[in-house]
Amino acid sequence: MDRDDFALDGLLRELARDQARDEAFLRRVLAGSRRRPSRRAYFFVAAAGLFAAVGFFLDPTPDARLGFRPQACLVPEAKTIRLISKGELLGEVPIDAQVRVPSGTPILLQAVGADGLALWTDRREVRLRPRENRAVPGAPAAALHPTSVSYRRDVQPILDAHCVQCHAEEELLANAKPYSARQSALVTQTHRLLASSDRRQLALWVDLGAERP
Amino acid sequence: MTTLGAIGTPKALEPKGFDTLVREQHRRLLAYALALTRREDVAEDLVQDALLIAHRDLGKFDAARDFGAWVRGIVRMKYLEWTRSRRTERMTESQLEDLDARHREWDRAAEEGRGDALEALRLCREELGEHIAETLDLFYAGRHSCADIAQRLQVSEVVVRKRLQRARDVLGDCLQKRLDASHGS
Repeated sequence: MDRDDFALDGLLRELARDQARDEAFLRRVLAGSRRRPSRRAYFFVAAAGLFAAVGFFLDPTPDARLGFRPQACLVPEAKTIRLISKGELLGEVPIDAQVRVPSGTPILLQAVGADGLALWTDRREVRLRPRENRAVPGAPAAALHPTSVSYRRDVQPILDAHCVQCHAEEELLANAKPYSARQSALVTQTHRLLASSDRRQLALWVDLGAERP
Repeated sequence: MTTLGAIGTPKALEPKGFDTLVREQHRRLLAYALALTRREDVAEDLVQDALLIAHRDLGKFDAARDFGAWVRGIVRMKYLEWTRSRRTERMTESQLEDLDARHREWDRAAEEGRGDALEALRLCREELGEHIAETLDLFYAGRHSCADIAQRLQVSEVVVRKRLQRARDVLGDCLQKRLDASHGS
């Protein structure tokens, strides 16, 4: 910019200023006051603060709502959806339902077929803001029932009862890979017919990542 | 432009007199502060501070001087304080002198009845070609960066900068002519 242009630039900036802002500025100057919030603004800020404080004491960690329409479209054969956080099952609900979930918690979604085996696992976790609503309007509400799956408590007894007579434990656990029950030999290639509940338990453990101590 | 002489001596200045001066001068003062800072919020703060000081020190004001020039001096002082406190780059002395000189020219034009610089520039702006005017509006009124404007108008950033420079050249010439022509008429 040329030296002379500074003055012209200032004039152009002034010409482009919003008239309402200019009038507000003039009023402020003539009132001899700095930019100060009005009494009404103070009232609204105080009221908002009060409401926030009351809301916090009543509900310190406000929940969010989550629906699963995108997952239902993506995996049409899915019947239920699992909500997994840090390897723990927060709950499994019908895919057309909506649930209240803790805000700020990383949640991995897993679509499950009628046979109880995972059909699809999201690659990314979702994390909802307090009171964020991603529910499908009108969807029935479902409740989460957190379930922990322990290798020693829930899986090892099944393996001990049905598998270890012929297979080493390490060999069995290697068959848990690739941590998708539908593709895992541990679930799909058993010599003996497992009880439905046992098979579901094994499948759930594998689908949750086959964690073991 | 109204000078203090036109409305009485400083000691005789009533609040209403000061209000009138502020109403007449504030846009030119803002234009001056905007030229210094290029930031609307800072420019408003500088001018507001300067006018508050002017109001406080009105009794010390020399009636022989121009009110606008006096407050511009305060704005300039406030600007230098602001650059020091923010450790931000500031205009050189020669740039500041050039800026003051241009404003003094515009003061004289107003005093001699040759027209108001802002109004003359507004009229000049209406005579600009479509492309240049659009670019100018996006830059000044829309507050878009050159890169944003280039993207919006599907031209290169160099073209945007050239258009802005062309606009300033055309407007500068037009402004000069308008203020001179008013003198001749």
